[in-house]
Amino acid sequence: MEKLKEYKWPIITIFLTIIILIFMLSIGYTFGFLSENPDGLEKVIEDAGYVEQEGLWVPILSWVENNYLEGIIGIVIITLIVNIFFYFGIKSKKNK
Amino acid sequence: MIIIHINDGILAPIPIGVLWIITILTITFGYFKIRKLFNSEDYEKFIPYIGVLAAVIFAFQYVNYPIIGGSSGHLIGGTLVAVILGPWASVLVLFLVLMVQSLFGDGGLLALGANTFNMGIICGIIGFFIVVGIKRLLDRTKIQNTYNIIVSTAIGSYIALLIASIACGIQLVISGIGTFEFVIPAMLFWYSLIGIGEAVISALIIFYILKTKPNFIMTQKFLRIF
Repeated sequence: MEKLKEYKWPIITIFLTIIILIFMLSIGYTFGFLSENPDGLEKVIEDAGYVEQEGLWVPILSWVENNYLEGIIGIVIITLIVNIFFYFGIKSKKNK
Repeated sequence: MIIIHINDGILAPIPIGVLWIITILTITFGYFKIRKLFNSEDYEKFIPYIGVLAAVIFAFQYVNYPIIGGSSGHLIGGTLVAVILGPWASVLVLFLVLMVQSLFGDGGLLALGANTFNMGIICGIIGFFIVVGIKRLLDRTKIQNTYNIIVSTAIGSYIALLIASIACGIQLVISGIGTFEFVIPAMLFWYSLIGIGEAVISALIIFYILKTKPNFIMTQKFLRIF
């Protein structure tokens, strides 16, 4: 319980930030002010005459076709991965 | 689907291989560098915030803001993360963010080494030292210290993005996509516009952290913030 109290604010921050990010993405996609135009790199590649080829493999999460859903799933996955990575990194260092 | 990074099939095998080797070596070296910091209490306390920062970078890389000429831009965030967590941690965080994006098909898995090199190593490590250099120059002026770091982050992230765009352009030319005379000026043109957004967003996030949780900036001793 003491440990939980210690992490109260970080946990609240995580939830609030994730809610804000999801809200930000949802507004962007709902009102359509996010640009669908190619970004700088894609524009240069297109202008250079490169034609995109079929990929060598199918990305594991490519079945998620909705950009908004992709953003939400991605935010959750990356938060978990980074937390787990740094948590175990620190734990293993302290155990030594 | 929004395509935001180099996809598989664009770069030739040699640049892919070389950039993977550089990225793996840098991440390994960087991991041992940041492991030294893992003993500090601060680092443990800040784990959840590091996760949030990675989520912020992930989300902002999805937000493509329109720029003139029918193109768009998004935050890269390498320099921003480096200013907050340090250059080595920034490469790791950017690598993890790009890896998750590649699972959705945004940036190829084979091109992950190149994407990490451009956004993590150049924008992160090189960008960080540019910020440090600019900060040291501004320290000699009468500008308030808090503003020094905000201005340095803005300018540093802008310059780092331009360097990364040149590096990316060179990788494209080596891979046979366009000529040097076309690709490099085109990359510089678009990223000189996109960089304005990068500089503004990075500076605003640093400003916000300085106002709300300044201790989270783990490079404060190195950057002489306080």
